[in-house]
Amino acid sequence: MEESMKYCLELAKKALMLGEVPVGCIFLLDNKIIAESKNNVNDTRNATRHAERNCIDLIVEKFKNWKEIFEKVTVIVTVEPCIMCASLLHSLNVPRIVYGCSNDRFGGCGSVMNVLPYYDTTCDIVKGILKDDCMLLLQTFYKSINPNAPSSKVKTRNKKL
Amino acid sequence: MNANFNQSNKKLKTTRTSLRAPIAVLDDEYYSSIIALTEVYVGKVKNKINIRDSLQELKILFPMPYSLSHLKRVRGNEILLTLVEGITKEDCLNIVKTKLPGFEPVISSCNVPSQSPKTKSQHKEANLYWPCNFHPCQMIEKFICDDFFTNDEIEKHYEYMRLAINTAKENDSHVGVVIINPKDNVLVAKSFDQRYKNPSKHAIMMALESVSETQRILYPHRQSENTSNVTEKVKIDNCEINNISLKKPEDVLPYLCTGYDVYVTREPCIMCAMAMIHSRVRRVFFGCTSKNGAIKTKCKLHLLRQLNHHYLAFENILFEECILLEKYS
Ligand SMILES: [Zn+2]
Ligand SMILES: [Zn+2]
Repeated sequence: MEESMKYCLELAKKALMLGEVPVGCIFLLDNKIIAESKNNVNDTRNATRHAERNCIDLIVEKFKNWKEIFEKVTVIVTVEPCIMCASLLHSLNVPRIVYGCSNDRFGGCGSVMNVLPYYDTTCDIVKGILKDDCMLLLQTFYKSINPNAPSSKVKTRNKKL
Repeated sequence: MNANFNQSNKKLKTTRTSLRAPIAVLDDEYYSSIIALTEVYVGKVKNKINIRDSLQELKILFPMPYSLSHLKRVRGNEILLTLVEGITKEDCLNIVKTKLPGFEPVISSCNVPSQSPKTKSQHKEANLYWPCNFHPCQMIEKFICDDFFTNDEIEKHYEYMRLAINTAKENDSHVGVVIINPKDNVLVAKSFDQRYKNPSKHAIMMALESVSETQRILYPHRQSENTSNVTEKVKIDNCEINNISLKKPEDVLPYLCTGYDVYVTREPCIMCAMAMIHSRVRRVFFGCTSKNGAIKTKCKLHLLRQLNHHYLAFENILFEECILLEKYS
């Protein structure tokens, strides 16, 4: 599992060099990589282009029987899937998700929200694999601050809406 | 997050246009008519004229707990002492008898609102138990009364929802979406559900994809640091608005869906609701609710405080037609 995570870390480093949030992801089927990708939000100008979602697109393109494939894969990703990606993975009945560090900003496996109970499925979620390495990459990115992102417009600091 | 949302049925106000105003989806606490209560000890001053002197000593002996800071200290000649929890009645009475000469040698317990009222109507109700401090937020009050939009705006919301419905119909889909830039009323993107092709191709995800394609074509070079927005903080109705651009809007390149409104025929799922948060959408209007909805039905994702962006959400535009889309496709 550490070997797979190391592979994901290399993908994440590539993303970082391209000025992207460093997240790398692979999908394994019978211990073979069937898809690999990294976050490319800034390049695509699409905030939903996360590594996990990119992998899903690759698999849908590659396999006609993607539905069955997703029900057998293991997802390895350097950072806890966000609420969006976790929802997508659970809607596909992905049986296993392995991630490195947690995602305090958007995490959908418990950090900000746990979305699993909203889906009629089960998933074995393993966290903490090489988490320090995964986190260090993220910290490197956020220290240099994403130049493309003006901070959010409406902050309802003292008010709930 | 609580999956159980018991919103009180709000009365729909018929507007002058005869179109019903979209209804804001706010935190449950704004709709609740049940006042949560907690028990406190209450003492009585002998002479109301000397109440100020007694209050000085009182503040030292019984500092007002922070959790009760929304309550006033005095009601007529009655004085709120402290929470029942934490001190026995005997001990409390002893302090009153020995240290507060301006007080009657009796105390009683009393139920008071345990939380600050959030709306005018909650304030009115809470005051029946004990007088509360309250500063109404004009924006919230307008949302609650469905009095937020002008007639022209309401007509626009219907027009755009009609476009979303037509987009679904033209493509034999059960969900349609349009994204509008309300500054110039430009249709930025439209789309429909294609999840049979790819499980992530929900209508909203497709529309967001389309916005990014347009921006890649129109603005091939990314916004550089020297054109980034000048920021300033302003306060509107107690809500802090950050990052008001001091430059002319045309000087600043569009960033994701900042400032855009999304009109979708049915309530978005968790994935789509989150995708719109990532994309910095300004407002979301949906026609009808959906069983997997993440803005009202299963949860209220747009109100998750930990997230770095929040959009306003409104429901109930042409919902009969939006429900029909679901049924006949
Ligand atoms: Zn994600
Ligand atoms: Zn969706």
